[in-house]
Amino acid sequence: MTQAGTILLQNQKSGLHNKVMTNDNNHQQLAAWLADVANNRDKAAFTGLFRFFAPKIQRIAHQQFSNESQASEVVQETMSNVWRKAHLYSPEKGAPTTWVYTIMRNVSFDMLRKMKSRKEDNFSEDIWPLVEADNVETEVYPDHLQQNQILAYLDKLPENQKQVVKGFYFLEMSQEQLARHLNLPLGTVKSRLRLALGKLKQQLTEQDMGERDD
Amino acid sequence: MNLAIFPLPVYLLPGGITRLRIFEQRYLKMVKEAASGDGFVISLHREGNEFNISDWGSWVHIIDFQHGDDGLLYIDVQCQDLVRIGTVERDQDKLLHGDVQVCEHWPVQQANDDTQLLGEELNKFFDANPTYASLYPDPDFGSPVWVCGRWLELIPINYEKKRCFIHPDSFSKAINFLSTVIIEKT
Repeated sequence: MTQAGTILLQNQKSGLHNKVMTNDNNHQQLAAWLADVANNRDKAAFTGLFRFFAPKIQRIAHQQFSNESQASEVVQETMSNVWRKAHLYSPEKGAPTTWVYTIMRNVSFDMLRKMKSRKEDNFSEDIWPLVEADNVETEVYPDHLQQNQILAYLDKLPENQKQVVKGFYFLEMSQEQLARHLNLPLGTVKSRLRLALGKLKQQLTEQDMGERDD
Repeated sequence: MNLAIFPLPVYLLPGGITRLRIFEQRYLKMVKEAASGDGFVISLHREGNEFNISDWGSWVHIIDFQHGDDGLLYIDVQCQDLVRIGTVERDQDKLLHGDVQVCEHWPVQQANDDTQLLGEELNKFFDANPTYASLYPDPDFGSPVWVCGRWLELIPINYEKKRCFIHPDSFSKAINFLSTVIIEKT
């Protein structure tokens, strides 16, 4: 059970029993649970889904990442997507298992992509840590609702706080956005930022450093 | 004053507004408690100290909330003041609480050509980004302090660099910085 799973299952005295389901009625039961989650935000139904899928996802993701905590992250992210997107499932589209595993695949791809982009961005980290790498993804969300950047930070939060805030309106522009806004080539904006940071550094050095509390 | 502290990578200066997505609705109560009356503090994550939070933060109040299409709760919070964070403790629910003290930020500033241009550019940015603009029902493009605060929140430089603009005497540095990036100078 992942940490997130523990949290999700806490306080849920659902009366749900560990029924052994046959393959025949698996799909029916899973589809019914998905419908309950979608329509009634039913936590007992979600618990059922969690118990069914979490160990399976954990096993598959563990093979893929050969890393327990990354596998847990896939479980956590997949299941929270199931919770949020249950209304998008309909039985006509296919088996509930297929639908959930598709979500899981997307989560895994996202994670792999992120790991890769992190690696590639390492060289510039001293100048633009984190922000630039993450902003590549904001392009996908025209409303700036940044959903991925926070995941990295979430890992470091106390468990309960992770559950409280799982996203924020990403205020900061990307360099690309700034360039578009100013109607300038990206290179020009980057060099302006460097120039401005250079000047700032100079101003700060000239000031009595003792005044600053670092 | 003792307030709940949420470590988030969000840089907010006084007047700044951001929207947070609350993952589970049953935690609404917790947020409500954190937010009732006194608000809470958003502090940048920072490696190194015990709770990995910075020694300063943005003291925010909830000004609006809504249920998103995804069934989640969204709260809009506005920064009232910057605070210095003293002793921090983790309670039995693993939430952080800290003793905080309000810090002065920039005093009122006279408008000049640069601040006016920055205001016009910000106005354009609002027009082009209605979702962002919708957070601010009452934008103050004529106020140099307000305009520079919003620009610094938006500008893509890292948080450590932005940190120097929290000092009360940093306004001229902020203007220099923003002018270099945003206003074309020959």
